[in-house]
Amino acid sequence: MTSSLPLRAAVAAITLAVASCALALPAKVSVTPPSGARLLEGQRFDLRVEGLGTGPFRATLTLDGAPLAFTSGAQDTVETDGISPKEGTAQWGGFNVRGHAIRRPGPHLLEATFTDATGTVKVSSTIQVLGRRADRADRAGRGPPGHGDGVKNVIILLGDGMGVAHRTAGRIVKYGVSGGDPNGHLEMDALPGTGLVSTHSLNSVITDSAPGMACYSTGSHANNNQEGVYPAHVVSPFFQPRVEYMAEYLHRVKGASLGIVTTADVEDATPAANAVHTGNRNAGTGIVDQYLDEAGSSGLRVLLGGGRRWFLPAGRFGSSRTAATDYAGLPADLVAAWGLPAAAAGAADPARDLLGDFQRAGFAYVDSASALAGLRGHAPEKLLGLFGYGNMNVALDKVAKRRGTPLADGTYVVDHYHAPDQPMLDEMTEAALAVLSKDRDGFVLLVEGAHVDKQSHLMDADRAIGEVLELDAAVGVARRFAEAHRDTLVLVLADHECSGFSLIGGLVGGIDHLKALPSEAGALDPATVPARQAAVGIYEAAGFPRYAIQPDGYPATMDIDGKVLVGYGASGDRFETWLAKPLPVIDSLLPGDVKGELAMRGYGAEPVKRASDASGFFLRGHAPGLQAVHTAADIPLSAASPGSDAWLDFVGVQTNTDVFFKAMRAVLSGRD
Amino acid sequence: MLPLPAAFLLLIAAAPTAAPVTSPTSDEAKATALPSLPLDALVASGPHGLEASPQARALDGRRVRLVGHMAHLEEAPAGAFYLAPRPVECDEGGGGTADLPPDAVRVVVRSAGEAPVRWLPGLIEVTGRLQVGPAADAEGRVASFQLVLDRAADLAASPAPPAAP
Repeated sequence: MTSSLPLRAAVAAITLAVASCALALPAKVSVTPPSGARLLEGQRFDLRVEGLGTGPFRATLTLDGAPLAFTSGAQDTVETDGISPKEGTAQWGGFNVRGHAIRRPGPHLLEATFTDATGTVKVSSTIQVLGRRADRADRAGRGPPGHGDGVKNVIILLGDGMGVAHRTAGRIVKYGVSGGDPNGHLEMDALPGTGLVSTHSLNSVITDSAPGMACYSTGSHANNNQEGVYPAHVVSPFFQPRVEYMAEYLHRVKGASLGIVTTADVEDATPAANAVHTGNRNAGTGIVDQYLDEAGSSGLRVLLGGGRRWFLPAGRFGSSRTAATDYAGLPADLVAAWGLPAAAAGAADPARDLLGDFQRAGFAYVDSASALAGLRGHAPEKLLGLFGYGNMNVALDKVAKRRGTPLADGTYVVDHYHAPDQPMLDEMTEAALAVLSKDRDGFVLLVEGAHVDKQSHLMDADRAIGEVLELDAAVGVARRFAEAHRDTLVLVLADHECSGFSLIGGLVGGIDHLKALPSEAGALDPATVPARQAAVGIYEAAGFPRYAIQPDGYPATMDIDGKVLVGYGASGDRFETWLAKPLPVIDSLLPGDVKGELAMRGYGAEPVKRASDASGFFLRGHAPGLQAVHTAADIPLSAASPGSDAWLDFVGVQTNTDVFFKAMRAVLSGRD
Repeated sequence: MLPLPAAFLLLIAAAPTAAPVTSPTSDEAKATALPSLPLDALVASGPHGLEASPQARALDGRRVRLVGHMAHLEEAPAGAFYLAPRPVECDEGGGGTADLPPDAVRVVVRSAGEAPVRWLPGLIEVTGRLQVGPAADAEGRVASFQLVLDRAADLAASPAPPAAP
């Protein structure tokens, strides 16, 4: 008998390999929208079936048992839709249904199969479609929506990162407290409807600003960093499956307009998550291009904020436009199904003169507060305002220029940014409303106070409070507009809370004493109580701080005896002085000074000092890094609708996506 | 661990146990003779808005000495940092470079490769070759001014510095 062991081993190996192949199935198979997604009756969205494996690929998709025809994705090919990438040695296969809509309210079952060279995987997803009209149960026993319940305009005032404590701090600073009662209330406090909103995203309890806004504007959760899209594996974030925005829906069905006002760069997540569909909030060039290229879908008529750098052709000083942050060639089925003009397919065109294109499209352009004020009384049909190259400056720094109170070296922060004449948020809101109110079909207006979040990240309490006051002034403008135009719904809310902002006490010992304290930067021994820690007056020692409010509505100074002191539950490492953060003055750059600075620098266990807090006592942060972070805390919502009872729908605890459906129903009730 | 240069260069090491900045050497004398320009003199108003100043354009391609503050970004660019006339804190990574002033200079630290450059507070001095005009990094972030930081080897081999403008 010849030795059959090598042959048996070879057969066994082959058998095992074949068996292994037979057991390997396509991986990461999914159907979009994900289970639990909610859509409004008639709201457009994309569906997608994808998986990772070895081609050729095939897929099927049914909706409530009925087959859905893919608009892209060639069966039995490796390429499928042509926009699904390779991943290592494997390949993604994708099949899409673009621009679908479901008109029947209720639960709907999506069932899909995805097949590759190794086998077939089945997946399913249950989504919910909500009717455009609230039923009796939704209206908590109130009568059906009638003629008097009309809402035509929706104004959303979003304080980025603004939690309950931020609002309380703004109230204390602006009005003070006597005998236990606030001496006054903020504009946002006066809205009759108060609710609490959970702020989670599709992939985390802690969101960022992109899905944080998109949940309000689409009714769908999104992954962090993504806006107006569902997650997917495609070669460009702009090709991800879309979900229709509030503004797009209302423009499509009733001709409503869209206005976006922000103190941030207009490319930033919160403003963009009202009109732009992308899985990358940092793709600045493509984001701003899409504002204009798809304005026919969103009804965009007002865009005010910072971010001039994205509107200048590449090569022009200050331009940030690049092909790397742009997109070209939206899939043909997406363009067709969403009714986009051919030009909206996009092009990698960093040299585009986007500012000129906006103007050629009929947008009046302003770049300063003076120019904006010059439009009063004769508002244009469309308005673009870009008041800085990047983010606009914070309220307290803008106010300082207006008051003529410079830094110690005689300069102004706004001048450092070459944006000496920037409008306040209430002025921008007023200008936006003057344009949008011309539209008899109504409008959606997003007003963002962006720097509550930004200054909270930096643990700069004084500037964060200044931002709350700036947003509140804009709320006042919105309230007065709604009183005059009673078919308006006003919502004040936040995308998330930032920093775990807490009002922990009041300064004891006096501000002059605090300013005179020596540096405690080296006091790292836990047994030593820093004098600045002892200066935190807690419980009754906090007293009632009294800020002197100037006619412009802002404090004369944030550094007062008994100033309210803020701690951070989601802090990064910092040195805390409790003082308003100054900007160091650079009078001259002498080599000797530089040598001295350099000699002090080195590496080791010494904690990093912020230049502006060099004398404060060290506080180890809760979160890694040197900035505070977002929290999962619910945020407060305030609502008003003078001409209807729609505001009642927003009372109570709700999820962030609930807000979308409530607002849409308020607008669409009574409309078939 | 990344190496450190002589005292007047700040080539930042990623590891906290890197060696401290060394005391001044004769190389510093060469550095201080380099042309220098305050950062806020890099930009001027022109007929079409802001533009690089004539002084900045005169230094394009030349080795220069700049002093400023390292901008503090939550998500620092790989192998580089931004130098600004005054302390700048840029919040939430998603905001990118939106809080940088127009006269910020991106300083490329070649020896850092793809590693982030550890943030240092306070005034710092850098020398290197200035590039005036837009330059994009690998992630598409554009800077109007870029300085390629000198390496220690470059300094040892460099000729006498040019006269200041």
